[in-house]
Amino acid sequence: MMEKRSLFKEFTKGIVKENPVLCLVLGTCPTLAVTTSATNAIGMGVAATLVLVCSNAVISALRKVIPDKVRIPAYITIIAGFVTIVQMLVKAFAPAINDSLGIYLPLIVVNCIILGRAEMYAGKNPVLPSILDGLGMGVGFTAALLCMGIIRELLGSGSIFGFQLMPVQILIFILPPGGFFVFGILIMLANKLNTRAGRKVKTTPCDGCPMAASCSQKAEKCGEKEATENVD
Amino acid sequence: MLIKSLIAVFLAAILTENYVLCKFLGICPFLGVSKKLNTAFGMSVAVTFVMVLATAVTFPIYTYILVPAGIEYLQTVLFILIIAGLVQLVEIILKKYIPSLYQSLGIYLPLITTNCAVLGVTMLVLQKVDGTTLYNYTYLHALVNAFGAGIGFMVAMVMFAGVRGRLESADIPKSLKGLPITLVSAALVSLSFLGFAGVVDKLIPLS
Amino acid sequence: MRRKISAKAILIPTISLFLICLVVTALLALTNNVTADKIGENEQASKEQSMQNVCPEAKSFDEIDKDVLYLGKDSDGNPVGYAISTATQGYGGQVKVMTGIDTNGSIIGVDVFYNDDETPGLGKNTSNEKFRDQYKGLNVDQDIVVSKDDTAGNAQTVDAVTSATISSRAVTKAVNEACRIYKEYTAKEAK
Repeated sequence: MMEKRSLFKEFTKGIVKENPVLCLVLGTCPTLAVTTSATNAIGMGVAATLVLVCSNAVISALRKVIPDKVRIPAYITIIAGFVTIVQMLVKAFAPAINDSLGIYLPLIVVNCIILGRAEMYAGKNPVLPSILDGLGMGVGFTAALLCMGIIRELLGSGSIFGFQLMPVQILIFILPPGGFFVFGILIMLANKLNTRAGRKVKTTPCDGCPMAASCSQKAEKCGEKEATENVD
Repeated sequence: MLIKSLIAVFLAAILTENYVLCKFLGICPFLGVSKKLNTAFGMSVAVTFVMVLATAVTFPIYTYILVPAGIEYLQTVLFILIIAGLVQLVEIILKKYIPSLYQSLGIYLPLITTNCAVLGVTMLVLQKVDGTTLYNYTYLHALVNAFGAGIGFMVAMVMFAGVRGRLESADIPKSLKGLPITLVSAALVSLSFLGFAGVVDKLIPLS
Repeated sequence: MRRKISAKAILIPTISLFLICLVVTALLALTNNVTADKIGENEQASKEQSMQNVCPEAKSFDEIDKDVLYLGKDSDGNPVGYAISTATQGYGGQVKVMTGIDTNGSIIGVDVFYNDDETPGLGKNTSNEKFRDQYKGLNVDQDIVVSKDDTAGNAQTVDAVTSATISSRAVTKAVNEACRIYKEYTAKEAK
């Protein structure tokens, strides 16, 4: 039995210390693509959190049943199932969000955070911590998206959640280049805070390689030739 | 008309609808494997190959099996499994029969399963099919679109590898080092692609 | 790879993967059953809303060509106009437009009911009234062009949304397509 305190830690670590977006640099695609407005960011964050919690719970519950050999396809199937369920629910009850997230909603399937958490955490830990881990990561993901969304919407369309606040609009911030730029600056800030707190900062390309988590079982070092020898 | 529309689809996929720089798909390898020119190139070749192959398989499955049976909702599950299966299959075949190619491409293949650009290409193309009244979007168009998307990915990767090569020797403020400066330079590269807006429409008017 | 592969080593993973797929599929089918009606209703409602927007005088709509052409009727059952749904390729993806044309062949309303793939702040502004209302009063006989493209002194022009010529062109193209559908239909009716 885990103590309450450590369970709580499972939850909070995803929000600050191991924030999936800003510290682990996972799930960059949706982070850049859907953060043109704060509302979109929340929609995406909540949808991904839902999938993350459900898939973490199921994968952790089945972790002793799923044969090791086919665990990746099994995880992907389970995740894809939940993604489709969430997509149908969103379509039915919040059609506006479905329209604005478009293709990025089904693409939650390949979000490295979810497969990454399944592989690194849920496949090895009991159900309750896994759920909390998923919840924490999800909240961290949503928070980072929201942060990006607010900055980009405020600068790019002069509004927050659709409420007009500024008369001036710097359009470039809601265009693709603005996404890259704001994300770069946010990571810089996160790095700075991490260094101040004495934590290790990911600066080398392979630490920062966003694929490292989801593909760690396949390529130890991305881009290096001797990497893979796994398929039997 | 057919040739014209095929060229238009191809160019659009590379320039105006660049999957990395305009649609934010496949950002992970774009940031992760673009450090060196040769790895960037190898990754893009593998991605292009899998994109075309995946489209070649998923497109008919969707149009001739899922739609008639009314089970379009299985799209996501099925497509991702097909892609994962295909990647494994290609890997095994390469390993067994063309070891030299496997040496250079093999390591990129497993990374592609979770590459959202591949899944994105197979899914987005289906939206185009029922979306455009401009011309008939056929299987051939879908394949050309996938190929163009792959080439577009390559263009972005190779260009960006060049930019990153220059960054190596640059004197960067300490806190910007690593990922932040990479992202800021990606912003500039993607800015340049904004300039292509409308180019294809003007070059090859279809209406 | 060289070691002998036992049937068990193959069967167990295969069966468990198959079972997982089966359960997932069953769950999806269930969810689909629950949500399909609601999704259909939503789509229907948003389409009806859009038809109402472009053809405000109509009290009810008759389906002539499913998902494309609808005839709007007032409360006495007299035809007051047509609502025509068309789609074209915009900047980021599809643009879907509902065009309202009255019985005399002039445009009474345009509604851009799907342009979520367009750039926010630019192409998405094609759904603003200021842009859409330019189409009002134009007639179906002559193609409409975006004023920027107008080289032949065309009488029917609309001003593009600033910095969003492609999305504006896409909407215009969709409206022209709607006019073509209208003309085709009325010509057939007249025979």
